[in-house]
Amino acid sequence: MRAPLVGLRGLEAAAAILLLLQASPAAAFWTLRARDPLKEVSALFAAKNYDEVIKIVTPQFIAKLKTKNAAKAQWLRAESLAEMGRFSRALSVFELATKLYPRDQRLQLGFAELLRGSDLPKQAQAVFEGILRKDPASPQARLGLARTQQALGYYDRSAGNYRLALEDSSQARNPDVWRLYAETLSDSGRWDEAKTAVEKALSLRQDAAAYLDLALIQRSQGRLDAAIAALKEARERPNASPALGRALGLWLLEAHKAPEALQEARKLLKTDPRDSLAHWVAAMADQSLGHLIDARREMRLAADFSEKTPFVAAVSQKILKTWGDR
Amino acid sequence: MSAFHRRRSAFAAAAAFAAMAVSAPAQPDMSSDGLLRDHLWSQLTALPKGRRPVVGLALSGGAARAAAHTGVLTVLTRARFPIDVVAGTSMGAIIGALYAAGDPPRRLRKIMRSITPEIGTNWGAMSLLRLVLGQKPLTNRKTEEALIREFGPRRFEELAKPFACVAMDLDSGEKIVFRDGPVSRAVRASSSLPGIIEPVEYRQRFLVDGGVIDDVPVDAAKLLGAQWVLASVTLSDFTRSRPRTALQGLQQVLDIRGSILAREQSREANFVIEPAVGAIPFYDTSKIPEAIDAGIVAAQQRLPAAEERLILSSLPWLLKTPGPSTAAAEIVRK
Repeated sequence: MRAPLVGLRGLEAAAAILLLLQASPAAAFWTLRARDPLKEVSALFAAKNYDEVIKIVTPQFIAKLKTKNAAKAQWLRAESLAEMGRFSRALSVFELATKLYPRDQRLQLGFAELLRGSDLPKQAQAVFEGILRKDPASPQARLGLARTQQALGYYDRSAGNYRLALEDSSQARNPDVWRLYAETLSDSGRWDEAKTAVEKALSLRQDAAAYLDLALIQRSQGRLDAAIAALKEARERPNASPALGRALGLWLLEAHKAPEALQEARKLLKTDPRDSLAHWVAAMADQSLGHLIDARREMRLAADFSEKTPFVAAVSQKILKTWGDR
Repeated sequence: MSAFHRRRSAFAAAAAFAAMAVSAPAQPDMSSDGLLRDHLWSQLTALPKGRRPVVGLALSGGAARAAAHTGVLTVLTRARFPIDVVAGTSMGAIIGALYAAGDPPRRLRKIMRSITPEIGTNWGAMSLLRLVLGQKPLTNRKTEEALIREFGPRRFEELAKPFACVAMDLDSGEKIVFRDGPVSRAVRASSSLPGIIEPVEYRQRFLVDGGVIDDVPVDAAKLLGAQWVLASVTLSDFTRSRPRTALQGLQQVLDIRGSILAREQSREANFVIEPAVGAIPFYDTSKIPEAIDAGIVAAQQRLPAAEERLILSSLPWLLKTPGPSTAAAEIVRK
């Protein structure tokens, strides 16, 4: 007799839910939503509505959550604060949260990345190392540590950690990780290995950044013509910055190609007549070509932007002095 | 930051980044200043010695703290910072001598990491007891022996780079700058911490640590012909310690005096790099790896400014570089 009774009760319950859904869908939504109290907040975060996230995820809100959700809520709050540019507040939220939930790797990673981004690499390194002590296979922590050590100038250690990070298949498919690895190898003067790494990045995605890295490596190897060609490739990519043109102008000067350098500088000045470095390139190119009046005029213009580009201005003023001007 | 790193940083922001799984490098130097610095630096470092200013490196004393110099040297070497002459005091003299003998920074770091008080002195329970109770100082004869083991019984004139180290004559209070003779004995004299290590008898003088009189030997570098001097200074933060024993008190006085002196002498340098090692006690060799890292970090941060300063001082030389630009400059001058 019991089994039919139980079956009947189950049926009754299902019917009650159906009735509830028909009668009040909103009530049913709120009942289901209660299972994931952070769903709404997560959606706000995904929609970059950080201000709202901060308003909702208050310490009182977090206090009502279970451990796992509370940790996630802290993460959402800290990340939102960081996105809003309130870095010191975000750091203090992360600092407290990582102490409250020391096993939550997402919090630890967020904290470490924010420390790295806040120019606190020493502290970031310690947090990344802490994560790796608990989980040596964490590719994000490995990558974060490599980047932090790169920023600190510990290039050999950084290269070692990039190598380990690249053992993870998802990282090995990421051209940016190969590029960063190439950069740290270049930083320690290991040009051939760096070139291999940047070629790997280029095989995955031919973007301006990778061409630029290739150009820099080639220039450091003394292959200036190849470097100039690679830099031109970088400049051809979509949304290339004028800084690439400025670099090209300087490198053409190094290659004793003054007419081309002058052409490059003029192109830049057409877009921005207040480009002090383009004036400097033009001045040096004009000087090389014997256009001495033009050279002085351009150098004076380069010297005029001491607030925007103090070093360009200082060098230009000193050169003008050497030339007997000013 | 190494030369490449800065070059790359200068361009990193310039290159167009699509949506990246990995964010762009943290500190993009997208400025025109960065690009010009890189351009002129590559020209300056390509100039042979004699066609640019003679660059000197002055390394301060500081015992364990001064291991930071090896971090500084690591960064300078990577950046191809031209170093033509070296001067050092105390631990700075030991590191300077090794560097001037041709040891690369990697080797210097390895040597520094292996240092313990027993390596350079007769440190031990009995000798310490004799120091405290019998006022018999330790001896650093082993420092001299270790240097000979490292680079042989070399004389100053035989080193790869001109080198000088500083000691003080205990009788006259004179500053003695060594530039000739056997290197290891002079370096030993330069690193004989007064009150703890016995003076070194050499050339009819009783010599003690040069840090007492010349902790940042900028003058010694200039004596060697340096026209532009970079000083690496590893000062103690004496405000953090509370001496409890007579020896600690003596050390505190030396630290205060050394810091005041070092600040004055640093003003003579064209550029100063000051690693954050103030909290490391001079005797704590276990903190040497920390000091080396601090040297790397400090040099990395200050390198762009150091390069800019040297470039500006070298512009007359740079403009003399043969090529079409020189001819034009000559015409302009006429």
